[in-house]
Amino acid sequence: MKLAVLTTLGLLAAPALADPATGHDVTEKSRLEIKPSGHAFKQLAIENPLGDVRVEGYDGTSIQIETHKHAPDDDTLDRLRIALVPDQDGTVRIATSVDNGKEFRQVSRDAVRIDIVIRAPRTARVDAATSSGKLEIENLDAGGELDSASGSITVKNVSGPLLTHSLSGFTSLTQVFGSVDAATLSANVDLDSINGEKLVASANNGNIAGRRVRSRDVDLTTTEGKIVLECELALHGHLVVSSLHGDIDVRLRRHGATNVRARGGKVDLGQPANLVERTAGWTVATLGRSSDPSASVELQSKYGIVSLAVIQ
Amino acid sequence: MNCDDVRPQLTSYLDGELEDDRGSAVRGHLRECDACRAASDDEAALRDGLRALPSLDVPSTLWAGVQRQLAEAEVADAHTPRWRRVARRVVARWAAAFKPQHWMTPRFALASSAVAVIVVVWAWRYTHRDVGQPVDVLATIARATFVAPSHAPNGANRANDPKDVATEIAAVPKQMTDDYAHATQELVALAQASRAQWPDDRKQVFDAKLAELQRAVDGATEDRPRQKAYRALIRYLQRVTTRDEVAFANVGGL
Repeated sequence: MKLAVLTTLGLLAAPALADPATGHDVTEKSRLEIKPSGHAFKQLAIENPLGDVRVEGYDGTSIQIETHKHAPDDDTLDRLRIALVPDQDGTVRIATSVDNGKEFRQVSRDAVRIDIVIRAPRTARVDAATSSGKLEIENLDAGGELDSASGSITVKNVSGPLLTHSLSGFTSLTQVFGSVDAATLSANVDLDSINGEKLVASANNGNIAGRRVRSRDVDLTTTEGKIVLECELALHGHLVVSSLHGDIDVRLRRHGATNVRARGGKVDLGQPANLVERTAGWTVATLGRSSDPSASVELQSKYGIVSLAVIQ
Repeated sequence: MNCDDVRPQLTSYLDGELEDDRGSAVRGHLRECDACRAASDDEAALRDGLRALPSLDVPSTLWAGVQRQLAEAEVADAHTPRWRRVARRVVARWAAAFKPQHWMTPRFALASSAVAVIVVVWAWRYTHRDVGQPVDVLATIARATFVAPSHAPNGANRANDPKDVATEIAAVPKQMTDDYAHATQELVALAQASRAQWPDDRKQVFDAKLAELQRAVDGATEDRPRQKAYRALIRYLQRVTTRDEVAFANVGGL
Protein backbone atom coordinates (compact mmCIF):
# COMPACT_ATOMS: atom_id res chain seq x y z
CA MET A 1 0.00 0.00 0.00
CA LYS A 2 1.29 3.31 -0.94
CA LEU A 3 1.96 5.48 2.02
CA ALA A 4 1.05 8.98 0.99
CA VAL A 5 1.38 11.86 3.34
CA LEU A 6 0.54 15.23 1.95
CA THR A 7 2.22 17.99 3.84
CA THR A 8 1.80 21.61 3.09
CA LEU A 9 4.92 23.26 4.26
CA GLY A 10 3.17 26.58 4.42
CA LEU A 11 1.23 25.39 7.47
CA LEU A 12 4.48 24.72 9.30
CA ALA A 13 6.05 27.94 8.27
CA ALA A 14 7.10 30.87 10.31
CA PRO A 15 4.79 33.88 10.05
CA ALA A 16 5.07 35.86 6.86
CA LEU A 17 7.67 38.55 7.01
CA ALA A 18 7.88 41.71 5.05
CA ASP A 19 10.98 41.73 2.86
CA PRO A 20 12.81 45.01 3.28
CA ALA A 21 14.78 44.42 0.10
CA THR A 22 11.82 44.73 -2.24
CA GLY A 23 9.42 46.77 -0.19
CA HIS A 24 6.23 45.24 -1.63
CA ASP A 25 7.34 41.64 -1.45
CA VAL A 26 6.12 39.27 1.24
CA THR A 27 8.30 36.26 1.92
CA GLU A 28 8.06 33.14 3.98
CA LYS A 29 10.82 30.70 4.88
CA SER A 30 10.19 27.16 6.04
CA ARG A 31 12.36 24.27 7.12
CA LEU A 32 11.45 20.64 7.38
CA GLU A 33 13.39 17.46 8.05
CA ILE A 34 12.14 14.03 7.07
CA LYS A 35 13.73 11.00 8.66
CA PRO A 36 13.61 7.60 7.01
CA SER A 37 11.25 5.10 8.61
CA GLY A 38 12.80 1.68 8.13
CA HIS A 39 14.20 2.12 4.64
CA ALA A 40 16.60 4.64 3.17
CA PHE A 41 15.49 7.35 0.79
CA LYS A 42 16.38 6.19 -2.71
CA GLN A 43 15.04 8.90 -4.94
CA LEU A 44 13.95 12.52 -4.91
CA ALA A 45 11.44 13.66 -7.52
CA ILE A 46 11.11 17.43 -7.57
CA GLU A 47 8.87 19.61 -9.72
CA ASN A 48 9.16 23.33 -9.17
CA PRO A 49 7.83 25.48 -12.01
CA LEU A 50 7.89 28.53 -9.71
CA GLY A 51 11.57 29.03 -8.94
CA ASP A 52 15.00 27.56 -8.23
CA VAL A 53 15.90 24.10 -7.01
CA ARG A 54 19.18 23.22 -5.34
CA VAL A 55 20.00 19.74 -4.06
CA GLU A 56 23.15 19.03 -2.05
CA GLY A 57 24.18 15.53 -1.12
CA TYR A 58 25.56 14.85 2.34
CA ASP A 59 26.48 11.87 4.48
CA GLY A 60 23.30 11.84 6.58
CA THR A 61 20.16 9.76 6.10
CA SER A 62 17.39 12.33 6.45
CA ILE A 63 16.15 14.87 3.92
CA GLN A 64 16.27 18.50 4.95
CA ILE A 65 14.12 20.88 2.96
CA GLU A 66 14.27 24.65 3.07
CA THR A 67 11.74 26.63 1.08
CA HIS A 68 11.51 30.33 0.41
CA LYS A 69 8.28 31.76 -0.96
CA HIS A 70 7.89 35.24 -2.43
CA ALA A 71 4.61 36.95 -3.26
CA PRO A 72 3.31 40.51 -3.58
CA ASP A 73 0.85 40.14 -0.67
CA ASP A 74 -0.28 37.74 2.05
CA ASP A 75 -3.28 36.43 0.12
CA THR A 76 -1.12 35.49 -2.84
CA LEU A 77 1.46 33.96 -0.53
CA ASP A 78 -1.25 31.69 0.83
CA ARG A 79 -1.91 30.43 -2.69
CA LEU A 80 1.63 29.07 -3.07
CA ARG A 81 1.68 25.38 -2.19
CA ILE A 82 4.40 22.84 -1.66
CA ALA A 83 3.33 19.22 -1.56
CA LEU A 84 5.55 16.55 -0.05
CA VAL A 85 4.73 12.91 -0.67
CA PRO A 86 7.05 10.15 0.63
CA ASP A 87 6.33 6.87 -1.18
CA GLN A 88 6.85 3.49 0.38
CA ASP A 89 9.44 2.56 -2.25
CA GLY A 90 11.85 5.18 -0.91
CA THR A 91 10.91 7.95 -3.30
CA VAL A 92 10.13 11.40 -1.96
CA ARG A 93 8.11 13.66 -4.25
CA ILE A 94 8.13 17.41 -3.87
CA ALA A 95 5.94 19.55 -6.08
CA THR A 96 5.02 23.22 -6.04
CA SER A 97 1.80 24.70 -7.35
CA VAL A 98 -0.47 27.72 -7.16
CA ASP A 99 -4.04 27.47 -5.90
CA ASN A 100 -6.46 28.51 -8.57
CA GLY A 101 -9.90 29.98 -8.10
CA LYS A 102 -12.12 32.86 -9.11
CA GLU A 103 -11.98 34.45 -5.70
CA PHE A 104 -8.25 35.14 -6.05
CA ARG A 105 -6.79 38.35 -7.33
CA GLN A 106 -4.86 37.61 -10.50
CA VAL A 107 -1.10 37.99 -10.30
CA SER A 108 1.50 37.54 -12.98
CA ARG A 109 3.99 34.73 -12.91
CA ASP A 110 6.87 37.11 -12.35
CA ALA A 111 5.33 38.33 -9.10
CA VAL A 112 5.65 35.03 -7.23
CA ARG A 113 8.33 32.44 -6.73
CA ILE A 114 9.27 29.48 -4.60
CA ASP A 115 12.94 28.55 -4.16
CA ILE A 116 13.83 25.18 -2.70
CA VAL A 117 17.11 24.03 -1.15
CA ILE A 118 17.37 20.37 -0.19
CA ARG A 119 20.05 18.40 1.62
CA ALA A 120 19.66 14.75 0.75
CA PRO A 121 21.60 11.53 1.34
CA ARG A 122 24.38 11.17 -1.22
CA THR A 123 22.97 7.84 -2.36
CA ALA A 124 19.64 9.28 -3.48
CA ARG A 125 18.94 9.68 -7.20
CA VAL A 126 17.55 13.10 -8.09
CA ASP A 127 14.97 13.74 -10.78
CA ALA A 128 14.14 17.42 -10.89
CA ALA A 129 12.38 19.85 -13.18
CA THR A 130 12.14 23.62 -13.22
CA SER A 131 10.73 26.10 -15.68
CA SER A 132 12.73 29.35 -15.66
CA GLY A 133 14.36 28.71 -12.31
CA LYS A 134 17.91 27.54 -11.78
CA LEU A 135 18.48 23.85 -11.19
CA GLU A 136 21.61 22.83 -9.27
CA ILE A 137 22.73 19.50 -7.86
CA GLU A 138 25.97 18.75 -6.07
CA ASN A 139 27.79 15.93 -4.24
CA LEU A 140 25.47 13.08 -5.18
CA ASP A 141 26.27 9.46 -6.02
CA ALA A 142 23.28 8.04 -7.88
CA GLY A 143 22.90 10.38 -10.84
CA GLY A 144 19.53 11.61 -11.99
CA GLU A 145 17.54 13.41 -14.64
CA LEU A 146 17.27 17.20 -14.80
CA ASP A 147 14.86 19.13 -16.97
CA SER A 148 14.39 22.87 -17.43
CA ALA A 149 12.69 25.17 -19.90
CA SER A 150 14.84 28.29 -19.73
CA GLY A 151 16.53 27.92 -16.36
CA SER A 152 20.19 27.02 -16.14
CA ILE A 153 21.30 23.55 -15.07
CA THR A 154 24.43 23.18 -12.93
CA VAL A 155 25.86 19.86 -11.82
CA LYS A 156 28.97 19.38 -9.71
CA ASN A 157 30.62 16.28 -8.26
CA VAL A 158 27.97 13.77 -9.19
CA SER A 159 28.30 10.05 -9.89
CA GLY A 160 25.96 7.74 -11.74
CA PRO A 161 24.08 8.11 -14.99
CA LEU A 162 23.05 11.70 -15.59
CA LEU A 163 20.56 13.05 -18.09
CA THR A 164 19.98 16.76 -18.55
CA HIS A 165 17.79 18.54 -21.04
CA SER A 166 16.91 22.17 -21.39
CA LEU A 167 15.26 24.27 -24.04
CA SER A 168 17.27 27.42 -23.53
CA GLY A 169 19.00 27.07 -20.19
CA PHE A 170 22.80 27.10 -19.98
CA THR A 171 24.01 23.68 -18.91
CA SER A 172 27.20 23.27 -16.88
CA LEU A 173 28.45 19.85 -15.79
CA THR A 174 31.59 19.60 -13.65
CA GLN A 175 33.20 16.55 -12.06
CA VAL A 176 30.74 13.95 -13.25
CA PHE A 177 31.73 10.32 -12.69
CA GLY A 178 29.27 8.43 -14.85
CA SER A 179 27.64 8.34 -18.23
CA VAL A 180 26.17 11.65 -19.33
CA ASP A 181 23.50 12.63 -21.81
CA ALA A 182 23.08 16.42 -22.07
CA ALA A 183 20.88 18.19 -24.59
CA THR A 184 19.83 21.78 -25.19
CA LEU A 185 17.95 23.45 -28.00
CA SER A 186 19.26 27.00 -27.84
CA ALA A 187 21.84 27.22 -25.08
CA ASN A 188 25.50 26.45 -24.51
CA VAL A 189 26.76 23.30 -22.84
CA ASP A 190 29.89 23.42 -20.68
CA LEU A 191 31.61 20.20 -19.64
CA ASP A 192 34.52 19.96 -17.22
CA SER A 193 36.12 16.82 -15.78
CA ILE A 194 33.70 14.27 -17.15
CA ASN A 195 34.68 10.68 -16.37
CA GLY A 196 32.40 7.88 -17.43
CA GLU A 197 31.65 5.20 -19.93
CA LYS A 198 29.72 7.43 -22.27
CA LEU A 199 29.25 11.14 -22.92
CA VAL A 200 26.58 12.28 -25.34
CA ALA A 201 25.88 16.00 -25.69
CA SER A 202 23.97 17.97 -28.26
CA ALA A 203 22.96 21.58 -28.81
CA ASN A 204 20.89 22.88 -31.65
CA ASN A 205 21.69 26.60 -31.52
CA GLY A 206 24.42 26.60 -28.93
CA ASN A 207 28.10 25.87 -28.40
CA ILE A 208 29.62 22.91 -26.61
CA ALA A 209 32.84 23.38 -24.65
CA GLY A 210 34.58 20.49 -22.93
CA ARG A 211 37.71 20.31 -20.77
CA ARG A 212 39.30 17.35 -19.06
CA VAL A 213 36.86 14.97 -20.69
CA ARG A 214 37.89 11.37 -20.10
CA SER A 215 34.79 9.42 -21.06
CA ARG A 216 35.40 6.29 -23.07
CA ASP A 217 32.88 7.04 -25.82
CA VAL A 218 32.22 10.67 -26.62
CA ASP A 219 29.57 11.89 -29.03
CA LEU A 220 29.03 15.66 -29.45
CA THR A 221 26.71 17.31 -31.96
CA THR A 222 25.65 20.86 -32.74
CA THR A 223 23.67 22.26 -35.61
CA GLU A 224 24.81 25.88 -35.49
CA GLY A 225 27.25 26.20 -32.59
CA LYS A 226 30.96 25.56 -32.38
CA ILE A 227 32.51 22.71 -30.44
CA VAL A 228 35.75 23.10 -28.49
CA LEU A 229 36.97 20.01 -26.71
CA GLU A 230 40.00 18.98 -24.69
CA CYS A 231 39.73 15.25 -24.37
CA GLU A 232 41.74 12.29 -23.15
CA LEU A 233 40.98 9.34 -25.37
CA ALA A 234 41.03 5.90 -23.76
CA LEU A 235 42.91 3.03 -25.34
CA HIS A 236 39.76 1.67 -26.97
CA GLY A 237 37.84 4.90 -26.89
CA HIS A 238 35.73 6.49 -29.60
CA LEU A 239 35.24 10.19 -30.21
CA VAL A 240 32.64 11.49 -32.64
CA VAL A 241 32.19 15.24 -33.03
CA SER A 242 29.92 16.71 -35.66
CA SER A 243 28.32 20.01 -36.59
CA LEU A 244 26.50 21.48 -39.51
CA HIS A 245 27.74 25.08 -39.45
CA GLY A 246 29.94 25.25 -36.35
CA ASP A 247 33.72 25.03 -36.20
CA ILE A 248 35.24 22.06 -34.41
CA ASP A 249 38.44 22.41 -32.39
CA VAL A 250 39.66 19.29 -30.61
CA ARG A 251 42.78 18.92 -28.47
CA LEU A 252 43.43 15.28 -27.84
CA ARG A 253 45.53 13.24 -25.45
CA ARG A 254 45.75 9.64 -26.52
CA HIS A 255 47.12 6.46 -24.99
CA GLY A 256 47.54 4.33 -28.09
CA ALA A 257 47.39 4.33 -31.84
CA THR A 258 44.32 6.09 -33.12
CA ASN A 259 42.48 6.18 -36.39
CA VAL A 260 41.35 9.66 -37.34
CA ARG A 261 39.01 10.75 -40.07
CA ALA A 262 37.82 14.27 -40.60
CA ARG A 263 36.00 16.39 -43.10
CA GLY A 264 34.83 19.98 -43.19
CA GLY A 265 35.04 23.33 -44.94
CA LYS A 266 38.71 23.16 -43.98
CA VAL A 267 40.53 20.37 -42.19
CA ASP A 268 43.70 20.75 -40.13
CA LEU A 269 45.03 17.64 -38.43
CA GLY A 270 47.83 19.60 -36.84
CA GLN A 271 50.76 17.25 -36.83
CA PRO A 272 52.31 14.84 -39.28
CA ALA A 273 50.47 11.56 -39.06
CA ASN A 274 51.78 8.17 -40.06
CA LEU A 275 49.38 7.87 -42.90
CA VAL A 276 47.27 10.54 -44.49
CA GLU A 277 45.00 10.04 -47.41
CA ARG A 278 41.89 11.65 -48.76
CA THR A 279 38.91 9.57 -49.81
CA ALA A 280 35.39 10.68 -50.64
CA GLY A 281 35.82 14.03 -48.93
CA TRP A 282 37.39 12.55 -45.80
CA THR A 283 40.92 13.16 -44.59
CA VAL A 284 42.03 9.89 -43.02
CA ALA A 285 45.09 9.51 -40.81
CA THR A 286 46.65 7.23 -38.25
CA LEU A 287 48.22 8.70 -35.14
CA GLY A 288 50.77 6.54 -33.34
CA ARG A 289 52.55 3.38 -34.37
CA SER A 290 50.37 0.34 -34.60
CA SER A 291 49.07 -1.78 -37.41
CA ASP A 292 45.76 -2.13 -35.63
CA PRO A 293 44.71 1.07 -33.85
CA SER A 294 41.96 0.45 -31.35
CA ALA A 295 40.81 4.02 -30.73
CA SER A 296 38.99 6.15 -33.26
CA VAL A 297 38.26 9.82 -33.80
CA GLU A 298 35.71 11.17 -36.27
CA LEU A 299 35.32 14.91 -36.75
CA GLN A 300 33.06 16.57 -39.26
CA SER A 301 31.48 19.92 -39.93
CA LYS A 302 29.73 20.45 -43.22
CA TYR A 303 30.40 24.17 -43.39
CA GLY A 304 32.80 24.83 -40.53
CA ILE A 305 36.52 24.46 -39.92
CA VAL A 306 37.74 21.23 -38.37
CA SER A 307 41.00 21.21 -36.46
CA LEU A 308 42.69 18.59 -34.33
CA ALA A 309 45.78 18.97 -32.16
CA VAL A 310 47.41 16.15 -30.28
CA ILE A 311 48.68 17.13 -26.84
CA GLN A 312 51.92 15.37 -26.05
CA MET B 1 46.23 7.51 -0.16
CA ASN B 2 45.94 10.57 2.04
CA CYS B 3 45.93 14.34 1.48
CA ASP B 4 49.71 14.60 1.64
CA ASP B 5 50.01 12.03 -1.14
CA VAL B 6 47.35 13.65 -3.30
CA ARG B 7 48.26 17.35 -3.14
CA PRO B 8 51.61 17.06 -4.98
CA GLN B 9 49.91 15.07 -7.72
CA LEU B 10 47.02 17.44 -8.37
CA THR B 11 48.78 19.27 -11.19
CA SER B 12 49.65 16.07 -13.00
CA TYR B 13 46.15 14.74 -12.40
CA LEU B 14 44.51 17.83 -13.90
CA ASP B 15 46.86 17.56 -16.86
CA GLY B 16 45.83 13.96 -17.36
CA GLU B 17 49.39 12.81 -16.93
CA LEU B 18 48.86 10.21 -14.21
CA GLU B 19 48.75 6.52 -15.00
CA ASP B 20 45.28 4.99 -14.92
CA ASP B 21 45.61 3.44 -11.44
CA ARG B 22 47.15 6.56 -9.87
CA GLY B 23 44.61 8.79 -11.58
CA SER B 24 41.83 6.58 -10.30
CA ALA B 25 43.22 6.70 -6.75
CA VAL B 26 43.47 10.49 -6.83
CA ARG B 27 39.97 10.73 -8.27
CA GLY B 28 38.66 8.47 -5.52
CA HIS B 29 40.32 10.57 -2.84
CA LEU B 30 38.91 13.79 -4.33
CA ARG B 31 35.44 12.38 -4.18
CA GLU B 32 35.73 11.84 -0.45
CA CYS B 33 37.86 14.76 0.66
CA ASP B 34 36.27 18.20 0.57
CA ALA B 35 39.57 20.00 1.27
CA CYS B 36 41.46 18.33 -1.58
CA ARG B 37 38.50 18.76 -3.90
CA ALA B 38 38.48 22.47 -3.10
CA ALA B 39 42.22 22.60 -3.78
CA SER B 40 41.64 20.78 -7.06
CA ASP B 41 38.89 23.24 -8.00
CA ASP B 42 41.17 26.18 -7.22
CA GLU B 43 43.97 24.69 -9.29
CA ALA B 44 41.62 24.02 -12.19
CA ALA B 45 40.16 27.54 -11.99
CA LEU B 46 43.64 29.04 -11.92
CA ARG B 47 44.71 27.04 -14.94
CA ASP B 48 41.57 27.99 -16.83
CA GLY B 49 42.17 31.63 -15.95
CA LEU B 50 45.78 31.46 -17.12
CA ARG B 51 44.74 29.73 -20.27
CA ALA B 52 42.23 32.48 -20.96
CA LEU B 53 44.83 35.25 -20.63
CA PRO B 54 45.82 36.86 -23.91
CA SER B 55 49.32 36.21 -25.13
CA LEU B 56 51.65 39.16 -24.62
CA ASP B 57 54.20 37.88 -27.08
CA VAL B 58 52.60 38.84 -30.36
CA PRO B 59 54.04 36.67 -33.10
CA SER B 60 55.32 38.20 -36.30
CA THR B 61 52.92 36.01 -38.23
CA LEU B 62 49.91 37.61 -36.57
CA TRP B 63 48.72 39.43 -39.67
CA ALA B 64 49.18 36.32 -41.77
CA GLY B 65 47.05 34.43 -39.26
CA VAL B 66 44.34 37.08 -39.38
CA GLN B 67 44.33 36.95 -43.16
CA ARG B 68 44.12 33.18 -43.05
CA GLN B 69 41.14 33.30 -40.71
CA LEU B 70 39.43 35.84 -42.90
CA ALA B 71 40.00 33.56 -45.86
CA GLU B 72 38.62 30.63 -43.90
CA ALA B 73 35.57 32.65 -42.94
CA GLU B 74 35.02 33.47 -46.60
CA VAL B 75 35.31 29.81 -47.51
CA ALA B 76 32.80 28.98 -44.79
CA ASP B 77 30.50 31.70 -46.15
CA ALA B 78 30.79 30.21 -49.60
CA HIS B 79 29.49 26.94 -48.19
CA THR B 80 26.66 28.59 -46.29
CA PRO B 81 23.31 28.21 -48.05
CA ARG B 82 22.22 31.34 -49.84
CA TRP B 83 19.02 31.71 -47.84
CA ARG B 84 21.04 31.88 -44.62
CA ARG B 85 23.27 34.63 -45.95
CA VAL B 86 20.23 36.57 -47.14
CA ALA B 87 18.56 36.12 -43.76
CA ARG B 88 21.70 37.35 -41.95
CA ARG B 89 21.85 40.48 -44.12
CA VAL B 90 18.17 41.22 -43.56
CA VAL B 91 18.52 40.81 -39.80
CA ALA B 92 21.63 43.02 -39.73
CA ARG B 93 19.93 45.77 -41.71
CA TRP B 94 16.84 45.63 -39.55
CA ALA B 95 18.95 45.83 -36.43
CA ALA B 96 20.73 48.89 -37.80
CA ALA B 97 17.45 50.51 -38.78
CA PHE B 98 15.79 49.79 -35.44
CA LYS B 99 16.10 53.32 -34.02
CA PRO B 100 13.29 55.33 -32.49
CA GLN B 101 13.31 58.02 -35.17
CA HIS B 102 12.99 55.38 -37.88
CA TRP B 103 10.56 53.27 -35.97
CA MET B 104 8.15 56.17 -35.49
CA THR B 105 7.84 57.07 -39.14
CA PRO B 106 4.89 55.67 -41.10
CA ARG B 107 7.28 55.17 -44.01
CA PHE B 108 9.41 52.75 -42.00
CA ALA B 109 6.37 50.90 -40.70
CA LEU B 110 5.05 50.52 -44.25
CA ALA B 111 8.42 49.34 -45.52
CA SER B 112 8.72 46.87 -42.63
CA SER B 113 5.31 45.41 -43.35
CA ALA B 114 6.16 45.02 -47.01
CA VAL B 115 9.45 43.31 -46.24
CA ALA B 116 7.73 41.02 -43.73
CA VAL B 117 5.16 39.96 -46.35
CA ILE B 118 7.91 39.33 -48.91
CA VAL B 119 9.95 37.28 -46.43
CA VAL B 120 6.94 35.16 -45.45
CA VAL B 121 6.00 34.50 -49.07
CA TRP B 122 9.61 33.76 -50.00
CA ALA B 123 10.05 31.42 -47.01
CA TRP B 124 6.84 29.60 -47.85
CA ARG B 125 7.89 29.16 -51.43
CA TYR B 126 11.38 28.05 -50.36
CA THR B 127 10.10 25.39 -47.97
CA HIS B 128 7.48 24.20 -50.47
CA ARG B 129 9.67 24.29 -53.55
CA ASP B 130 9.88 21.23 -55.77
CA VAL B 131 13.30 19.68 -55.17
CA GLY B 132 12.76 17.01 -57.77
CA GLN B 133 12.40 14.17 -55.27
CA PRO B 134 9.34 12.78 -53.54
CA VAL B 135 9.30 14.19 -50.02
CA ASP B 136 5.83 13.24 -48.89
CA VAL B 137 7.01 11.74 -45.61
CA LEU B 138 8.98 14.82 -44.67
CA ALA B 139 6.25 17.18 -45.68
CA THR B 140 3.70 15.21 -43.71
CA ILE B 141 5.92 15.18 -40.64
CA ALA B 142 6.63 18.86 -40.91
CA ARG B 143 2.93 19.63 -41.05
CA ALA B 144 2.06 17.18 -38.31
CA THR B 145 4.71 18.25 -35.83
CA PHE B 146 4.80 21.98 -36.25
CA VAL B 147 2.67 23.99 -33.93
CA ALA B 148 3.76 27.59 -34.17
CA PRO B 149 4.93 28.69 -30.72
CA SER B 150 3.31 31.84 -29.45
CA HIS B 151 6.37 32.90 -27.50
CA ALA B 152 10.12 33.04 -27.63
CA PRO B 153 11.92 29.91 -26.37
CA ASN B 154 13.35 31.78 -23.41
CA GLY B 155 9.95 32.96 -22.35
CA ALA B 156 10.72 36.57 -23.23
CA ASN B 157 7.18 37.55 -24.10
CA ARG B 158 5.50 35.48 -21.46
CA ALA B 159 6.18 38.18 -18.92
CA ASN B 160 3.65 40.55 -20.46
CA ASP B 161 0.91 37.97 -20.53
CA PRO B 162 -1.95 39.27 -18.36
CA LYS B 163 -3.05 35.78 -17.35
CA ASP B 164 -2.83 34.58 -13.78
CA VAL B 165 0.23 32.69 -12.59
CA ALA B 166 -1.77 29.46 -12.19
CA THR B 167 -2.86 29.61 -15.82
CA GLU B 168 0.63 30.46 -16.98
CA ILE B 169 2.22 27.64 -15.03
CA ALA B 170 -0.32 25.18 -16.38
CA ALA B 171 0.54 26.27 -19.92
CA VAL B 172 4.30 25.74 -19.59
CA PRO B 173 4.42 22.04 -20.55
CA LYS B 174 2.50 22.67 -23.76
CA GLN B 175 4.71 25.65 -24.57
CA MET B 176 7.77 23.46 -24.11
CA THR B 177 6.30 20.81 -26.37
CA ASP B 178 5.59 23.49 -28.97
CA ASP B 179 9.22 24.65 -28.79
CA TYR B 180 10.42 21.10 -29.41
CA ALA B 181 7.98 20.81 -32.31
CA HIS B 182 9.27 24.07 -33.76
CA ALA B 183 12.89 22.89 -33.59
CA THR B 184 11.86 19.60 -35.17
CA GLN B 185 10.26 21.42 -38.04
CA GLU B 186 13.45 23.43 -38.65
CA LEU B 187 15.58 20.30 -38.61
CA VAL B 188 13.20 18.49 -40.93
CA ALA B 189 13.72 21.34 -43.40
CA LEU B 190 17.50 20.91 -43.11
CA ALA B 191 17.24 17.14 -43.48
CA GLN B 192 15.10 17.70 -46.53
CA ALA B 193 18.00 19.49 -48.22
CA SER B 194 20.37 16.61 -47.45
CA ARG B 195 17.88 13.97 -48.44
CA ALA B 196 17.54 15.35 -51.94
CA GLN B 197 21.14 14.30 -52.62
CA TRP B 198 20.94 10.76 -51.26
CA PRO B 199 20.52 7.50 -53.17
CA ASP B 200 17.17 5.76 -52.93
CA ASP B 201 18.21 3.10 -50.42
CA ARG B 202 19.42 5.71 -47.96
CA LYS B 203 16.22 7.68 -48.43
CA GLN B 204 14.18 4.61 -47.60
CA VAL B 205 16.09 3.95 -44.39
CA PHE B 206 15.76 7.59 -43.42
CA ASP B 207 12.04 7.75 -44.19
CA ALA B 208 11.37 4.58 -42.22
CA LYS B 209 13.33 5.76 -39.18
CA LEU B 210 11.72 9.18 -39.31
CA ALA B 211 8.26 7.67 -39.54
CA GLU B 212 9.05 5.41 -36.56
CA LEU B 213 10.21 8.34 -34.43
CA GLN B 214 7.23 10.41 -35.52
CA ARG B 215 4.88 7.62 -34.50
CA ALA B 216 6.56 7.64 -31.11
CA VAL B 217 5.84 11.38 -30.83
CA ASP B 218 2.23 10.96 -31.90
CA GLY B 219 1.70 8.00 -29.60
CA ALA B 220 3.25 9.62 -26.54
CA THR B 221 1.03 11.16 -23.94
CA GLU B 222 1.14 14.92 -23.54
CA ASP B 223 3.92 16.87 -21.87
CA ARG B 224 6.97 14.98 -20.58
CA PRO B 225 6.62 11.73 -22.59
CA ARG B 226 5.95 13.68 -25.77
CA GLN B 227 8.86 16.02 -25.11
CA LYS B 228 11.09 12.99 -24.62
CA ALA B 229 9.93 11.54 -27.94
CA TYR B 230 10.62 14.88 -29.60
CA ARG B 231 14.13 14.93 -28.15
CA ALA B 232 14.84 11.54 -29.71
CA LEU B 233 13.51 12.79 -33.05
CA ILE B 234 15.56 15.99 -32.80
CA ARG B 235 18.74 14.11 -31.97
CA TYR B 236 18.20 11.79 -34.92
CA LEU B 237 17.65 14.72 -37.28
CA GLN B 238 20.74 16.50 -35.90
CA ARG B 239 22.88 13.46 -36.60
CA VAL B 240 21.41 13.01 -40.03
CA THR B 241 22.00 16.62 -41.03
CA THR B 242 25.52 16.82 -39.60
CA ARG B 243 26.79 13.37 -40.58
CA ASP B 244 24.79 12.35 -43.63
CA GLU B 245 24.22 9.01 -41.97
CA VAL B 246 20.74 7.66 -41.48
CA ALA B 247 21.09 4.54 -39.33
CA PHE B 248 21.91 5.08 -35.68
CA ALA B 249 21.51 2.40 -33.04
CA ASN B 250 20.32 4.64 -30.23
CA VAL B 251 19.09 8.20 -30.31
CA GLY B 252 16.90 8.11 -27.24
CA GLY B 253 19.56 8.94 -24.64
CA LEU B 254 21.23 6.75 -22.02
